[in-house]
Amino acid sequence: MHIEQEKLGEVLVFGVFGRVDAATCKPLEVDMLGAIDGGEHRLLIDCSKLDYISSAGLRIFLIAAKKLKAENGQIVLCSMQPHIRTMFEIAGFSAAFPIVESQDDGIKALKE
Amino acid sequence: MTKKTLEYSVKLPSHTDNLELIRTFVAGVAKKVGFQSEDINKIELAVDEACTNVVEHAYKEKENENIDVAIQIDYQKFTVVVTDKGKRFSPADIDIPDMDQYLAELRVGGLGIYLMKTLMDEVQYHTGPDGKNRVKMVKHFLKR
Repeated sequence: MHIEQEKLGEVLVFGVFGRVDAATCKPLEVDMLGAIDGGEHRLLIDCSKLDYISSAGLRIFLIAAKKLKAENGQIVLCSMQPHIRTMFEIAGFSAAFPIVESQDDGIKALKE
Repeated sequence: MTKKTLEYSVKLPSHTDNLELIRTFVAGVAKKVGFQSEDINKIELAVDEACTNVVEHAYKEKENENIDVAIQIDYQKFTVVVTDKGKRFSPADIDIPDMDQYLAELRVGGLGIYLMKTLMDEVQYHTGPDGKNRVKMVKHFLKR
């Protein structure tokens, strides 16, 4: 698992690469929650290279959503591979986060 | 006539670094017996969650313990049993009865158990007289 960050206007894009499980999730937690604490309130998680995620990673997205709600911010997930999207839908997590098709759609959603 | 049961098992040190090996093992067997990718993904994630709970909660990150992952296959179901000798776990303590409400409240605990129950057809916890905790997860072939 590795992360790439890019600032596009007011939006901080997190590209999450590879497999996120209990062994690999710590950098994601540190970087994402650190960014929110540092004042980033519009987060776009680009999942195009995310191959696997367990509750260890989902938990981090939920904590981020909770922190951002308190700051009047927002988190949006984009560009999920079909098998990841299916798992989000089966587990009911698509109700927790806006999930959009592309980075462009995500940036639009975060500007609204 | 006795129905044939196939068994596969691995024993690994209780460390999250081994989760990927466990997923590869379970997914490999699920694929071998004919599950399609959506069910393979479900089984893989459910077993990951069970083993993560063992490492983080039953053994509280002690790395010198073992996790047993055993798969039994008969003509109607695929059963995975994860066994540990750590702290007893009571799933009722962290049940998520309603996901919509859970998400609305933005709670963050108990996700692993919720996923296991959502992804598999049956999930049962049992602590035997030998002190071993067993999580049994079943996926039926008929429901494919």
